[in-house]
Amino acid sequence: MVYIDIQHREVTLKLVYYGPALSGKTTNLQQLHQLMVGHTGSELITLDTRDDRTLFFDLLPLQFETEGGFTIRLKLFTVPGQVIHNTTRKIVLQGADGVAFIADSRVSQTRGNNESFANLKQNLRDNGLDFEDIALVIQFNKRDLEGIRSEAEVDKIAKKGREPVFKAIAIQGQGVSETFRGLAALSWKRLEGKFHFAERFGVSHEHFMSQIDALFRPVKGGSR
Amino acid sequence: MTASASTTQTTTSAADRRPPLERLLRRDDFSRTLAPFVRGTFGSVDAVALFDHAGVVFCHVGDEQGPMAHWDQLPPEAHAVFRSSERGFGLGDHEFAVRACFAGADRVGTVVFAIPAASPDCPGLAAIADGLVGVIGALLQAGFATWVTSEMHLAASESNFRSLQQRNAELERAIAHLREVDQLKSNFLATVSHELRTPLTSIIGFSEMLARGIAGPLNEEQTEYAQTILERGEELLRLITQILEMSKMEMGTMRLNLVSVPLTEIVDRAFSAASIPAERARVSLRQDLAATLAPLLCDADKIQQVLVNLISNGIKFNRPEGYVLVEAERAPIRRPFDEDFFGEETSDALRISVTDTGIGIPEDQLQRIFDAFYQVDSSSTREHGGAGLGLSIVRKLIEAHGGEAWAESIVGVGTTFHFTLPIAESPSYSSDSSESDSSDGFEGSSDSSRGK
Repeated sequence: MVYIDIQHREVTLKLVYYGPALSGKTTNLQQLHQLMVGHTGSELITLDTRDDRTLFFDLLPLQFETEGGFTIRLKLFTVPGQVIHNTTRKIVLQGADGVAFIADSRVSQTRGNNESFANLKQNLRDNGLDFEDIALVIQFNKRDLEGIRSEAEVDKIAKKGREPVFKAIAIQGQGVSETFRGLAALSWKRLEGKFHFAERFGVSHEHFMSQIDALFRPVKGGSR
Repeated sequence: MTASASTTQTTTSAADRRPPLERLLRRDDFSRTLAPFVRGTFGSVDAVALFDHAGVVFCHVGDEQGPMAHWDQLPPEAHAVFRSSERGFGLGDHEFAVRACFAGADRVGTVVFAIPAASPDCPGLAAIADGLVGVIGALLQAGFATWVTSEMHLAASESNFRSLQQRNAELERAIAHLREVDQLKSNFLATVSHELRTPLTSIIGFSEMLARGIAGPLNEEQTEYAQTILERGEELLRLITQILEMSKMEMGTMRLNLVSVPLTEIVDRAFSAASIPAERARVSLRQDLAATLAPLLCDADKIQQVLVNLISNGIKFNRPEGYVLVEAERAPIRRPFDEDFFGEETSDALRISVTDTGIGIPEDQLQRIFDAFYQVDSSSTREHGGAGLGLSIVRKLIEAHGGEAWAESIVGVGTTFHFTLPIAESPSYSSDSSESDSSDGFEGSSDSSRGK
């Protein structure tokens, strides 16, 4: 649930990267962190475990100013993908404004994707969030591997739902910023419909997106 | 003695509870609040300083040439004030007013005000000091309330944490104990069933010899008795063998001999093993298997055992003139799943289904029937015998092959048991199964035949 602090003129959005184990959620956040050098208020908060798995969650906090003098904070979370960590997933999903579902493109991982997707729906329900209501984008990651679903197959899957679908090779940074832009745009659009940011605070959708795009531009004079 | 000890304890703990000034008041807040009173519109007080209860300076307000700017400690004159009826003292060309500060019931510090002795406001210092110490007192009280709340929170969290730690330790001990007991149970079952089989072999062997007339001719009644001993003995042997197998599986000492084998071959063997009880129960055995089915990659003996178990169940719980049907089709290795947004899974395995026309199993029991020793009808007067191990063994054997076993049923119509097994030519078998949990401790012995 978006957090609006009128007194300090701040809006905080929570965006969650969800998906099956080892699908590349943390990699997405790491790449974003690298792509936004100098713009991120702080380091990527991550708990590295011995076997590359996310133990609790990763957090990438982002922040920028808008034309109305508003501060927009974006908190990007990942969840642990392994089946046994469902309680953690449920907690991290609490109050999410947008979800990026990171799917593994390999055909052999279809079951994992389907199970995680069903788990996302269930956990949203358990958190009192409506699946139809939440901003959801889908990323087909690992497009560089063998045995993946073809472009045509991915497009066919994309047509089944109304969620925007992105293709990515997160480990090389491909498709990472596109997915994030898509997620930010859709989340803001959904919230705009509810809270009328343009009308109340003078923050238009175009301006919000131009500020998002600015996060990817190199900072002049080095990093802060 | 006891009374004095308890008094000492109370005093110590009260002293321990006294909050440090840092926790009650921020130096910034103190300076900002008192700065307007120093050399301002409220008279010529030129310095205010707050000392903690040990007498160390906490905060000083006033310029650097002020009379207290270099005081690190509360001066002895100020200490003397508390021992007398005075409320201030003179030092150099200044007069000082000394006041105690309280938070709750405890004295937490001392505040000292300085005014030039020559100032016309000097006689009013006591009144000014009383007024300002009231303001400082209010600040400290507010800080004290917050401090008490946070201490209480802390204490509550600590107590919760301790009780959780204790519970965790208890649970860990309980788990360790259960694991040990479980291991003991498995060992016990293995030993006992092994020991039971030895005398049973004699019972079966000698009763068979009697029944066949090897030890001399028997009359009709005697033959029937010997035959009954033989049949019951064999039934007991089957039960004991099941228990032994189960305990072997639980101990992880069973090996699989994986080979490429056609399903029809295994089904034929299973049917011939089950033909006598099927005839007796007037249940027909049917199979509907396409000739084009890919061969399985499995341990043929173990899968035959799985089929015999399922077919025997199908016969046991069937109606007369019913049937048991074995079918197979290509399917994913995992059981069907409701969500299919990300597409169908690859059909790289065989799904074998054994359907009967029996009494069926209620929905709420379907999951539990695969548990060891579980019986749908667990009453002592139940119609059908058995140790409740058959389906548990089925599931364990199938999971050891990397497949899944599950059941569907309609009460009064019949039950279908499904299980999946990898096919011999599947290229993805070895890669997929390497990610699946193999907690059973099974080992594939013929690795060369894997993932051809």
